[in-house]
Amino acid sequence: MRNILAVKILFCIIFISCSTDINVEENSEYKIPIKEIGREDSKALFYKPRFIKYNNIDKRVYVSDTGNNRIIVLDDNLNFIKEYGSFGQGPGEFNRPEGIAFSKENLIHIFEASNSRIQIFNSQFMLNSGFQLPSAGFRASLDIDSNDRILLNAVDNKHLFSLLDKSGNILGNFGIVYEYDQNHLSYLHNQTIFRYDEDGNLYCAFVNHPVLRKYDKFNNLVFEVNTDFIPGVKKQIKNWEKRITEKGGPNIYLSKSLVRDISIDKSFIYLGVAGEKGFPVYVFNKMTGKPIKKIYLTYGESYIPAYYDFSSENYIYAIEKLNMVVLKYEK
Amino acid sequence: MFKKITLVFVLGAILLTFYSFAIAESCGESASCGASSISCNCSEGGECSKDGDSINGWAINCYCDDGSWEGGFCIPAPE
Repeated sequence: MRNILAVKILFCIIFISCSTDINVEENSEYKIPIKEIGREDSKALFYKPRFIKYNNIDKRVYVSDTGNNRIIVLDDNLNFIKEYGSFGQGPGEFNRPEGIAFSKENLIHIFEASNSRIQIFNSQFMLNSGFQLPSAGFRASLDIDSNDRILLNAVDNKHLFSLLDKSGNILGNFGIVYEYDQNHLSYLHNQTIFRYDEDGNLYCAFVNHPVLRKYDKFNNLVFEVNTDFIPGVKKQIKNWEKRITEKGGPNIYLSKSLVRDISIDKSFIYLGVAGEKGFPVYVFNKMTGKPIKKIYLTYGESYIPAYYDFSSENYIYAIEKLNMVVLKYEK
Repeated sequence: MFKKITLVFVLGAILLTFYSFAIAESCGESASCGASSISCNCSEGGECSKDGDSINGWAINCYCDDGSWEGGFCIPAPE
């Protein structure tokens, strides 16, 4: 009798767990922008804008206007405030500014792809310091940890991440990498996009592997989620397998380009993927890594919301690539 | 009459050829890395633009209407 009861309870548990398992593909949200900038305001005509960050300290939106070699600062309703920088290699000048990150003291860190350096500005955009990156190969994604250290993808081909001080000295490396037969390209093969949350946890998504990881503030791995259940990720891998035979060459590393951007708020991880029409953003529970739903950041008939920031409490800010506009959505 | 119809057909064929090339050009991009070249085309047609960021590709980085995204880097020679 007890055995039968135990079996019944077991079945109930299995049934409940299955019935609460959300089908992400059927759980879609379509967002319509409530504000935009980039078409009418002559001061903010973007050219190939890359990377957008909402600053929770000064409540402003920072955009890397990469093609114009400047940073544009907007208020939280996307009104133009200021622009900073022009093309060059000198202090305060930019050559392909990309990643943006803010320290606790609101120092603004700008990664420059072509100058291969990081410049650090105060909140008035006066140059505070800057340094040349210690070696070639570093990529745009950067963030600041709870101890004000700068996090970048490592280029030593042995680790996932490097932590740097404000002078550019490498303080340490961490994170297990995927092995690659061409070892000197391991840094490209293991490239990630990443963000810290308010508690100092780190979330990263691999550009070339269908994997999402969470590290705690002591750099210990908390969880690893496989993202190959996402149709777009599957399609990108399939496309890559076809391309590698047709288009690969000795001087070329073909990226799988599985992910576009990652963002974190108090509860969720937002992961933008390629390979699906409308370029949806998949939403995961921050504590468990469980997928919950997907969000489409729409804009007219044809749109590519390539970069975004969900860290504001009520709003989403996104760069739409095709029309080169910055958009604001309600969460 | 026969000549007019033939002329219309010939002109139509020429226009169609130019239109096809224009579509292919607008959707195909290529870049070179040393001796190798890399290209991408949007298989389902539509928008395809070549540009890049240092995360997904500098040599080429195409975005198509069907959501596919092709990226590639020119890489340094092994030491």
